[in-house]
Amino acid sequence: MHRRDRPGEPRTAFQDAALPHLDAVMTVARNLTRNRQDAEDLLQETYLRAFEHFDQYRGGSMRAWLAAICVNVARSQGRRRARRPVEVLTDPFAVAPESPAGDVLADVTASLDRAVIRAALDALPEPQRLCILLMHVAGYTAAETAEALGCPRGTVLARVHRGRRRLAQVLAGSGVEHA
Amino acid sequence: MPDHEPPLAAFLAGDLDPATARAVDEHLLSCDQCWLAVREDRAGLAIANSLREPADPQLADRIRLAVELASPAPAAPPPTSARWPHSATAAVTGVAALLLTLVTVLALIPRQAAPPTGDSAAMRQVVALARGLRPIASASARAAVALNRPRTLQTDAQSITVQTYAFHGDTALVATATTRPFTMPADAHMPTARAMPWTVTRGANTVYCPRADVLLAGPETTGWLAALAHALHLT
Repeated sequence: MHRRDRPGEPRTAFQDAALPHLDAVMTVARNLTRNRQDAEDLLQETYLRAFEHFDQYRGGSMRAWLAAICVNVARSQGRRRARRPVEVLTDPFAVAPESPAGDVLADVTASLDRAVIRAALDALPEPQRLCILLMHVAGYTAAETAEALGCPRGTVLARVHRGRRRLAQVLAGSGVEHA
Repeated sequence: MPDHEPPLAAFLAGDLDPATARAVDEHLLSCDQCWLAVREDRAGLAIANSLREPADPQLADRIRLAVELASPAPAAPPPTSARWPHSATAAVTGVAALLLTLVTVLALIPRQAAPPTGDSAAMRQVVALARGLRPIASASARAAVALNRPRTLQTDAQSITVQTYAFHGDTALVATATTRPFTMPADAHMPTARAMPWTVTRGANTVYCPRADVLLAGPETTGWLAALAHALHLT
């Protein structure tokens, strides 16, 4: 039975459980898409699908469940996009985020670094990329990452280790600074 | 050294028992290759962490509203035979109210169904799209929140971009013309002496035109569409 059809079960239960993880899921979405607009659409679709299937949520980590949905939606959207011609979208009301005066150079440098890092992350094999994305970019634990991706925790640890080494090797000569 | 990878991954995650961890630690002192692997791992971790960034605070509003839109309004409990005698009076009242509404609607038809002569194809499309809007149950969005991405439509050689916004508990369609301005219908009302802004009623919705290339369509309560236009810097 559909959750939203049940009398007396307010959608606020879903919102209370799922909305606190918005930052983490948005980080996942942002790193699975090419631009902010696509990321926001993916995030919205993830939450709508999670709401639709909330009755199938069996406890455990809510944000791992949301991440699993996000990854699945991104994969199916990617397949659909590959079959469709490119869609032209405009955003006439988008307002550029304000940058404090004097920080422009720092912002540009940071965004260039981010673009290089993102490209290196994108170039990793998908299993390594998803593990690193969930654990180190979105802040999931190894157990949550394993739950979201449906693999053992040890596999996640091995994948992030290989992926992190690969990232460092690829970016070693690119001039990207890291702590 | 592939043999070292599984213990290194577990070692770096802090998963090893103390004795094994000590053994790996000692091994690192004498194995350059494994020590390089640890350093690369730590650098890769710092690199990946640098991609973290907070989400836009408006996103929470957008997602909350999207869930509310996807959730139907709570339905009234179905009547049962046991309850029928108690609700008979209410049913009679309901039928009377329905008849009264019907009579009122019939009386209003000549005025409300005034043919929208002079409506451009673009405006007819905006009005048709606005008919599908639903109010938001809660007034959680204090700022104007875009509920979808802008889409460009072609109507009668006119190119318009449409997007739905939630604002103070209700929704409206915002259309911008990208090729030529919207034409003002013959029955438009101008609250000021100037040509802009103008408003016109079409069915349950009001169309508000703050400037020649922008239309807002939605359920009008006093000043709501104007306030939305102001919030979006469209005035």
